[in-house]
Amino acid sequence: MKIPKVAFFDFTSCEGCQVEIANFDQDLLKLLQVVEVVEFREIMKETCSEPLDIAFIEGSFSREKDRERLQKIRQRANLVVAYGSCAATGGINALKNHKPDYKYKVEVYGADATMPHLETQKALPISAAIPVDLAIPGCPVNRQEFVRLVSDLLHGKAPTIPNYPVCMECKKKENICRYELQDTCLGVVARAGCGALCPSNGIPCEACRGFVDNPNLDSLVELLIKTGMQPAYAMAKARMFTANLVEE
Amino acid sequence: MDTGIITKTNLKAVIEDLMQRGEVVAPVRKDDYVLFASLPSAEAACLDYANSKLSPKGCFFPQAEVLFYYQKEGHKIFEPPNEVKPGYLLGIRPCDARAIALLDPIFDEPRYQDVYYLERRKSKVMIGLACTRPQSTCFCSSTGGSPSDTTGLDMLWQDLGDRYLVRPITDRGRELLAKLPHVEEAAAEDLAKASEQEQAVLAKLPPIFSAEEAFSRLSAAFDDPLWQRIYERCLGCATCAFVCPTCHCFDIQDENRCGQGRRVRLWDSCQFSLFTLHTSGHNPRPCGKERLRQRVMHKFNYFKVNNGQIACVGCGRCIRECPVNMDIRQIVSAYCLR
Repeated sequence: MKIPKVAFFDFTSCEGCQVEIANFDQDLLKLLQVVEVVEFREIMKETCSEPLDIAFIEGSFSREKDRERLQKIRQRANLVVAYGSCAATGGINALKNHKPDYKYKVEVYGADATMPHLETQKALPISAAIPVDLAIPGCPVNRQEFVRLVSDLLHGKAPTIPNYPVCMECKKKENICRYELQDTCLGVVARAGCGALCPSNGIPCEACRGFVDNPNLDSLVELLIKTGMQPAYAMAKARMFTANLVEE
Repeated sequence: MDTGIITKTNLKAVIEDLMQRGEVVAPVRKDDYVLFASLPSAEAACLDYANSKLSPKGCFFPQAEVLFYYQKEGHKIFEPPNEVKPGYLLGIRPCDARAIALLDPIFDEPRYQDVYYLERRKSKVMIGLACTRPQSTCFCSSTGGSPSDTTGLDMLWQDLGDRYLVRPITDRGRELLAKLPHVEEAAAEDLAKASEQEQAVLAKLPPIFSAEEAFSRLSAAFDDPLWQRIYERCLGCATCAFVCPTCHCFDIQDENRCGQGRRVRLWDSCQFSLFTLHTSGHNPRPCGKERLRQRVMHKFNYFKVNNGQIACVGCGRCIRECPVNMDIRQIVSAYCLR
């Protein structure tokens, strides 16, 4: 079998998902036996303009001028995988979509705020610019899940991402519910797949993998308010990683 | 001997005797809750408890279970190592034992006998512990059970303060009673005290509705607009199904790696959208409303049509664990009061 050529690209993101994969130790070496990485800014200097078997895209689509670059990737890639929450749903970047007076650019960049590459629009998932074959959620992506999904793609198996809430994984681990500890938690509607990492280590779920399909957000916000949050804060909490999914 | 007595001073010796005979699975304290687990020592058994966090159905129907391992080359199939140990399930509450009796016809029916479930099920003698302190969420008397119900049990113990009254129910239970050490014949006053206690506990559990009433009222409720209002609060997290002693839906997945792998059976729930998603993309239960209705209707209506009994035993776990305080008693009552 021909070894598939894969490349990693990044758009609006912290590149933390690339770091997560670069930090893979032994498993990365195993992965390198079955795929040929031809471009991966975080770990190599080479680039590639050849046709690709899989293009992994990190980050959200937040500049119109990125559309052309995305379309070029799409044209030469057999499969396009949007990985990480930014690429899958817009992620934490999309918080700015709810700020009509977005002025942090000036606070952060000062006099340089008018530089042309800082000109951005709403932060959207990669699928807003080009068709995406698979979106892997997570902030950052879960390494084990990443390998499983890549393996599924290489074996020609339909990749599956859990569509049940973090509550399930928490119950499976027999954790005490955060709500029973007078805490808050978004795990009741957050998409599972992380193994309930945060609640298992004593902190609430922030729904970094987004929500399950058609979540009951009205009830979630009501539940958060019941734990003592102000309504506006509860709303903000619910959309931390899911701003493109939660309406005004 | 028809009915025996084990004094609490002899309890440790009796449990140690059971442990000599086989594996003893019993309620064990973990942090601030109780779970069923294989006893490491007789002292670990916690028989002074209200009820376990998760139902003991996992003893026979584990959360995740390897059905077999396979290897593509040569088309080989390997059985998983047999971890089933004969022994005793000690201290199960009557509601949970009743739930297991309800699961039996699901896994053992003329068309299909589930070897995995049946092997585990047959491996354990069921020793129940009558309820003496029902919780505020308990409603077994409304679903056809009672705090001293013997359905699904081989033997029932009842806590009389300084002693346990030991009643064998089946031949298996009678055989065990004959073998147990430190068992005395129950005196007439023990039996009188047990009966008095039973009545007192039952008086704390006035029925809210009857199983018959719930069944017939829900028969006409499928299109009722009330479901929409009930659903408004439900998050669809499926915690209710996870802790339920009678929920038994499962998913089967192949975990394939480089031409070899394993087939695993995992608990699943009708509260998830993927549960009924068709390959075409169509979903007959597109929203939480239909999924919540399915769970309630299956418990109180469809299961009775298929198996002759309703599938709720009134253990109240779903009420205790729901993050938004959904109460299945209120849902069923709402239809009963219409």
